[in-house]
Amino acid sequence: MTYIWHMNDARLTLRLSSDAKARIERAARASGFSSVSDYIVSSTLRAADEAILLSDRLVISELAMAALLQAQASEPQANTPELQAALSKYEEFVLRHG
Amino acid sequence: MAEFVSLNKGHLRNQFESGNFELDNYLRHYARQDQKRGASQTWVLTNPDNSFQIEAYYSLSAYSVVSDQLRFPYQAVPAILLGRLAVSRSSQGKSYGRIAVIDALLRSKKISTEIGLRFLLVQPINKDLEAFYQKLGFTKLTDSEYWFFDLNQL
Repeated sequence: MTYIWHMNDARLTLRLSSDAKARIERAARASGFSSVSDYIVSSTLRAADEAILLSDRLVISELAMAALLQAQASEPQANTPELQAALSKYEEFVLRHG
Repeated sequence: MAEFVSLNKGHLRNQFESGNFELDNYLRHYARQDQKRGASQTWVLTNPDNSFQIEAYYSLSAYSVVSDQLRFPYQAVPAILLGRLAVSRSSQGKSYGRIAVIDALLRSKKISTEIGLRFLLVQPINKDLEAFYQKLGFTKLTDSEYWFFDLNQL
């Protein structure tokens, strides 16, 4: 059995047994999802996030690490005008909604 | 005073709708779980007239950035990851996204002075967001999908 779901601009295709598909559909209903696709995407993303988050590590290339270490060894840059403006607006926002 | 507060069980997570399925789904189903187990912390901005209604949220988590190459075998750079950020449909167009980023930066800056770290990381999901973060002073990390902000700037 082929099961296909798609969302946004990407598509993922996989094959699974009829039993497995039935269990997934049952679990989707039990979890309150109106769409099996939404349930599958949600559950799979959750598992992916867990795998990434629980590692607590972000692995980057040698080139990227060199750039990050370079930045770490350097003096900080000046704030951009947009950041300065955003900081001012943030203060206004906090006070205005006080 | 308007401020981002830590997500709690009283907040109306199921009513939050930003238009992005993944971001809405995370807040509704997983953000509280992640807080309980210490994987990430979610901060919410609520409606001034209803302190349970969420207008925007973002999540932060602690990361250790390491290289995949042996040249840096023992080198790990501590960082904070701005993992998710969303604004409710009803509040879009009010610069709440920008306000959320600034709140995340200031909160991270405070943490950085207490535990010693220098960078906040984000992974923009499209070119518009890349431009948004770039204007605020984020730098694209070479050879990576991540952008970083130097908290020592603040």
